[in-house]
Amino acid sequence: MMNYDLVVIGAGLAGMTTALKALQQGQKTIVVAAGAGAMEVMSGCLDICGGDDNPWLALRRLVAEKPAHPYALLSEEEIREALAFFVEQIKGACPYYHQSGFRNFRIPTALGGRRRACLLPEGQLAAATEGPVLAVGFKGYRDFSAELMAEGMNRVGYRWQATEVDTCCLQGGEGDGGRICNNSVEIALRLERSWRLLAEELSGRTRGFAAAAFPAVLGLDQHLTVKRGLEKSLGVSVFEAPALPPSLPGMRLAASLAARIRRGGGDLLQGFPVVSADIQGRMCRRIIVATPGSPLSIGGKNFILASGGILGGGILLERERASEAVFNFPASGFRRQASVFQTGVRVNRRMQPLAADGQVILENVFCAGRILAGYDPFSEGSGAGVAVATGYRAAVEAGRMAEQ
Amino acid sequence: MKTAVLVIGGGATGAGILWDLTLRGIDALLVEQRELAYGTTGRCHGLLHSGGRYVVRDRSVARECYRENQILRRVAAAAVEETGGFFVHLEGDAPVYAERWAEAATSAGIPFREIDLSEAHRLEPLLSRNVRRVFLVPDASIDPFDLVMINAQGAIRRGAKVLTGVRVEKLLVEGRRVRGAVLKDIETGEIYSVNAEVVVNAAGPWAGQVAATAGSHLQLAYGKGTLLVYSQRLCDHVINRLRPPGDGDILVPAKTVSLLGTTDLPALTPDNPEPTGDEIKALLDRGEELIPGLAGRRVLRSFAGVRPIYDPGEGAGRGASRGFAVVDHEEADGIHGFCSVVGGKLTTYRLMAEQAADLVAAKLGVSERCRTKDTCLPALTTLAPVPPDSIEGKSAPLVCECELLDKETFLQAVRRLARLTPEALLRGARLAHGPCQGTTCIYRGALLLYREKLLSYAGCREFMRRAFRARQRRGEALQGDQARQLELARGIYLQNLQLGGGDDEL
Repeated sequence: MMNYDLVVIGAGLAGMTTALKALQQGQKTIVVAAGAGAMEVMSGCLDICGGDDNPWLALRRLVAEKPAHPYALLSEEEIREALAFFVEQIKGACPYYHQSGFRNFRIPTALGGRRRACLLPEGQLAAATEGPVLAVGFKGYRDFSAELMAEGMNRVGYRWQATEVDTCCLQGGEGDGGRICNNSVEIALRLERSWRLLAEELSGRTRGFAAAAFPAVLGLDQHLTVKRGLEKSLGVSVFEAPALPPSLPGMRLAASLAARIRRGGGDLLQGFPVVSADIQGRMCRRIIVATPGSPLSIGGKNFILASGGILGGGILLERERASEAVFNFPASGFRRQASVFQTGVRVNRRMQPLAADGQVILENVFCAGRILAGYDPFSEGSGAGVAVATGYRAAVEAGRMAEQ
Repeated sequence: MKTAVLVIGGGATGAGILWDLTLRGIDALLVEQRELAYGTTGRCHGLLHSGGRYVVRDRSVARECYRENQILRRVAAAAVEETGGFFVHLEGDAPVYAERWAEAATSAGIPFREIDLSEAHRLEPLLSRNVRRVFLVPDASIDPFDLVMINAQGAIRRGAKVLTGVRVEKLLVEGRRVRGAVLKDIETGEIYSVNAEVVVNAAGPWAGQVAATAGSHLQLAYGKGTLLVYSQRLCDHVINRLRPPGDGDILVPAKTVSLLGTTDLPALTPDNPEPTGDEIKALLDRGEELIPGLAGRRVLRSFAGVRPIYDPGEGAGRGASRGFAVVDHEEADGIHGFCSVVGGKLTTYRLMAEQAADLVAAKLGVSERCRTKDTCLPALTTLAPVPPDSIEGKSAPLVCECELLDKETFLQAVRRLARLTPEALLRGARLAHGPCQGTTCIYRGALLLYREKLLSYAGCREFMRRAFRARQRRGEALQGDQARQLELARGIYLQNLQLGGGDDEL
């Protein structure tokens, strides 16, 4: 049996943050996940709380409105500390930026509307510009319209223009036979080789603009080379506008976090679901992972449950009930109209799971991220903040438990 | 505006009447308050009955169904899939009912054949192993949207007119004669009137409201029926439970999906029927008996329709007649130039249209006879040529990967629509009907329509917002992978694209 100080279930933003914090504390850590985290389908820009340019004001309003919100378990100081930790950890291959005090940026959506976000990856940083922007689309690419984005921005007083480039500058492979390249990952991989052709195609067109906006397809592993290379050639800032999955910004973030965990000495076992847990009294001793051949038994002193919500597969919504997938914790909030998506596990201030009567179910299991009850990341703009802050807190609590 | 005949209602009956009148050379205009097939027609199983369903209780309705079934296979081939149907008797169902059914079918002249159980399971592998007897009948699957569309298109090509998004405010009455109607455009609010020599009320469950504006009384009862749409084609034949009609006892294959239904509850109004949790539970429980494991399979959505039942004496429910009536208001309440078609079912829509059109022709003094029995409806085609597209290369890219809806087909469907409201695009162009429920194709389709200049910037955003909202209303059927799918769509539409409504302030 493999043994760890900390076993993290889930490879999303919450689980990865927990693992990084635990590694920093010197805990022997493994991340076990059934699949990719939901961040791989999301936009890659991270928010704490929408609703106001000052996210802390919005957050205070939110907690006042929803006393059972996960943010109510944390102080603002702790949330700031967690965000700063995250930004520090992710430096290098996939850097994220924020304004002072974590004030929200205002950035355009792919539809030319605007949204708030707190942490921006380098590829979306220039989106906050007020200056004139050239939106660049790819002919035949279904998932982005430069013209639509520009029209939306111009309607609210910006100065944007749109242009299109032929996809022939992306045709890197052989034997294409003129096939239209319509998949964002495929375009991204081609651009890693052929971004110079794209720069040539656009040369002269960016004069007078402060920035150029692209669909979020500017490379995968080599995205910084592509983005910085284009900026140098075109003489303008470059940014991406994410829309549909697969999300390149999300994939880059996930890959960078995984690499960081491995570099920090952590293990990562991704692609296999946890099928059962060995419970003794109020302690979890080990989990069983469905690896090919024979199931794998992984023992741990402490466990983090960061397996995601309904989308991630941590919460199963069934006909008559909702349940938590690994430990079968009770899921609260089920079937109360309009709050289906706030269904989740209730926890105490130490992030330990609670039964309906308020008793701690398992003392060495700590919950983080979308598995938690009482919030809706998509209407609140709170997903990344909750994931990072509760993930951080869960690691700290597990660390305290390990010391005892 | 002037027309010889004003037809009210864009369901199968109204469109069928329009087609029938046009074939007789009668000038006609159809008005529909929302979109074609918006009401009862677009909210049913899409089952072309062999008559087997009604044979025990109402032999004449059963015979009528069979005759129409045979006609529609011929004239409406474009909308019919000849699946055949099973009537299955399960262990525990009263054996005597199967005997009664077989006798009644024989005497009604509805062809059927009992098949071996091994043959039945070969044809339908998911069918319960508790099945004891299986009868094969000539049921078929019929696409109600296509059916209405080809009737309307056939009529339009012969000079008829169709207006959608136009509600009848009231009928114009002079003395004891209906002279036309006051119409309201529901988008612009514009009010205008149309003069007609005869007005035909085929407004389905709304027929009572229309008649009331002329001072006529039509006693209608409403029966709400809820259906579930499964993400797959679970059977290749229509599967009927062989017992007195009840909830969840018919499963119909329809293109790439299957529909399980229905329930039957009295409803108070014809507007906005919504499925309830109890109805869905009843459907799943009954369906599970027919197809084990059905309750756990992926339900794309649930919806409800309202049956208009004309039979004031007997009330609503399954006991009430599925027959129909053509009411001549001259006879019924002394109002000239006005008739109503009420009751009935999709399978008999053509016959209803024929009888209504006979009455209209008589009122107009036209002697042309009905030709819809022998005239084939046109296959679906585009009304405007699709411009050649040199940009996108050889193969048309897909708008919807779930249902392999390519760009050209989508644009053709869009160009058939009279107006591009979000509801029309979803229903008429069949966007967001596959397993991903529009997560991809609502965005992609909207971008395409913007590029093609069919939608403005504001129209494009509004379409996405409303289409997403419409697909969110899933209510009680939400579970499993479908819930995950919807949460993914929420992430994209509410967060990435900020279409929740809060972005306008920024």
